[in-house]
Amino acid sequence: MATPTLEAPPVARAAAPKRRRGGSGFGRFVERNGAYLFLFPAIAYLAIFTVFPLIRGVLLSFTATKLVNPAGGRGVGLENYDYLLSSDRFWTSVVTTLLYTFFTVVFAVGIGTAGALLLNTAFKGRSIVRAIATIPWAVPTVAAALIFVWIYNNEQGILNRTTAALGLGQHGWLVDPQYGLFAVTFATVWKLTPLVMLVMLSALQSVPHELREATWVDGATRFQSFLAVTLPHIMPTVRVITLLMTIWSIRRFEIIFLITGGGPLDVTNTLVVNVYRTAFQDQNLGRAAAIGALGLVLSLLVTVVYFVVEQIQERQENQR
Amino acid sequence: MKLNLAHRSRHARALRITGIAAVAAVALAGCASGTDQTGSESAGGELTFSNWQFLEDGKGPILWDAVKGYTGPDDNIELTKVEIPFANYADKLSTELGAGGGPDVMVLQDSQFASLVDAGVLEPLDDIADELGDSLNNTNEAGVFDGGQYGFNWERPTYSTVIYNKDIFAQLGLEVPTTFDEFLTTAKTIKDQLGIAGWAGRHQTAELDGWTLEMANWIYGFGGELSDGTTLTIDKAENVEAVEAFLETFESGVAPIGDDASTFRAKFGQGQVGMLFENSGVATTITSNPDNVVNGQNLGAAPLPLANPGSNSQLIIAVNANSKNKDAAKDFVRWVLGEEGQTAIRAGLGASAMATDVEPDPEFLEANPWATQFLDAAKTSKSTLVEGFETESKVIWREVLTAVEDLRVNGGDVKTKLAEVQKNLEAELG
Repeated sequence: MATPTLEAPPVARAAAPKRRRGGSGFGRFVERNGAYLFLFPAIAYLAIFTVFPLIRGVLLSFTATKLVNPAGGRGVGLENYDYLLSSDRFWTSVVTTLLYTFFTVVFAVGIGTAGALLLNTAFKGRSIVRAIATIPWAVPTVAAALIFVWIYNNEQGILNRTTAALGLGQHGWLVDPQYGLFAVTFATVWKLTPLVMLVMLSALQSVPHELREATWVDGATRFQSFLAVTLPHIMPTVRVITLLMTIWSIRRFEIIFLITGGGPLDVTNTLVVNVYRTAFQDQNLGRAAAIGALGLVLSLLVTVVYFVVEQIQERQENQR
Repeated sequence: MKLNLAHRSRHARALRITGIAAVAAVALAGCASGTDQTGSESAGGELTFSNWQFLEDGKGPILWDAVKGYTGPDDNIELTKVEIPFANYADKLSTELGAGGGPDVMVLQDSQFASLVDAGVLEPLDDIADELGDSLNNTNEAGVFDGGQYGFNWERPTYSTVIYNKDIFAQLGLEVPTTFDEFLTTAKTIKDQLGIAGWAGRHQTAELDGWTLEMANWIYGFGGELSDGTTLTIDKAENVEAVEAFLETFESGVAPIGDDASTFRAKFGQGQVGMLFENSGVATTITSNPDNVVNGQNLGAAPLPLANPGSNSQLIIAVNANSKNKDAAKDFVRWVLGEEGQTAIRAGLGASAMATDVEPDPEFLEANPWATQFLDAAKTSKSTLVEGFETESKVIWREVLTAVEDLRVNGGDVKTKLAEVQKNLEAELG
């Protein structure tokens, strides 16, 4: 018996119609360069909207450029980077970004996954609960930020009224540096958790039920079944959503800026908020571009770490 | 070998195609901008006028109604309003003007005005100043930068005034305070007797621009300033005293912590705050809202309870140097500064000082007796621009206010903290 092969049999190759030589010049041109022509729109899009602004931004970071005179900057070499790397405010901003990102990702992914597991079980009114659970994601960010500003208000805010009623006292959620980061992180987690939940729910629904049933037949508890079947199945999704959440959190602006404007006392002054304040309040485009470039390095580092971890795990799985 | 050659020629072709396409794209982009430039060359046509006040309740429609009838000397100009919310007005305008675009005529805050003149994006208007001469009052000096006239006073809403709820003062038998000690005692009485805020004011860097105007009230009121014209004077004794008084006011519990301006203004309108250090524009807005318990008759206004006059916000009307319709834009400014324009916009600007001494409508003054205090205060109030450091004013104020916020939250020695700010700013600004 002949071994099956993926290659087409010689007969089939011979039967293929011969390419026409000659024909119209345009036809030949399209035939020969069709692939490049089809690629061109995507390449042009990336070049115009990603590569060019990126290069322009990096070049800008080596200049002293004012917002109102973007073409009139003068080269200052590494001066902006030198200033930033020796500035406490910049490093505070980096630490704030990392803390905000860490807590946002951990809680949004943790709560979102737990919620998805809950919503994946059968119970009465599940569809309604699923619909309600997605509401925070559907609320526009500006509206969500304004709602939280009211919730956190010192005197009229429902949070302080509740804590006071419970005998826990009142706190300056938006005016006390002790609570500022918590306030924006909580609002962000509230807004993002439904997205994680939806993504995880779709991953959970693709887990084959037969496999879980098989573990139950073998005497596994529900938790053991989760560890042996469900978790490995949803882990790739968890990893991807964690990576995306991390990158999005590093560059998130609107909800933070709308709730605290980077305050109180810079405790929510993340890198992106810092870029805005430097570019528009201080009108210093060059220095803002340098902060942006350093933020890009941070994002790239996260991505590199993710792919390195991914490859190591892949290698380990292949060795098993 | 043959294969390699084929590959190389294919790459060369691909490069050629990409090159041709790129040239075509650049050419198309060039055509697009060329069309735009030639399309608006004519002297008549559309004239764009940008002002965030167009979006303000009550005031906005009155102002637009006042100017929209302008059609130019040849009756061929159509005025179009550009509405940008105040929150991102300065950012948007700076970005547009920096890129060579933006409206033909615009209303600006003085802090932005200085930077724009410095960047060369505003049109010199000395000819208009010469032409109108004595009809313009001294508030138009705010439009002078580096010896040239680049703008004129559109509105000067002074902050150098305390507004108070007359009903509350009558109920508690209070006198209008004239010193800081009297002010604090009055605010405490309101707080203790009625359980509402005795006074309210901005105190967070999240409201940097607004807090700058209010903090300047305290600094100037105590005789302080942030520079002597050539060097920074952040830690001078008067500034330290002013910051200490500001902090004492918040420590005393008379002022709500965490309320932003829109919140405490709404509360004042509802009779939930006794006093504010406010500007004339806000007083007009509060009293013209029929839902408020505070109205033109029970709103009181008096000089700041501090030894010296306070600050003012300064709005300047200016012309875009890159405008394609510069002559029409300048003519519009001339019209605004003339009798017809001034009388028309006076109705929308309530009790603020304007470019000329045009009197408010007698009916308005009768319905709002508090208004005259603001007109008087505008004569002595000062800009928040840091003299000699005009284009760096925002950075300087931000550092000062961040330090004040830090002191309010964490405590500490005011003199030491301001000295630290002085040192950091000297290092940064030279």
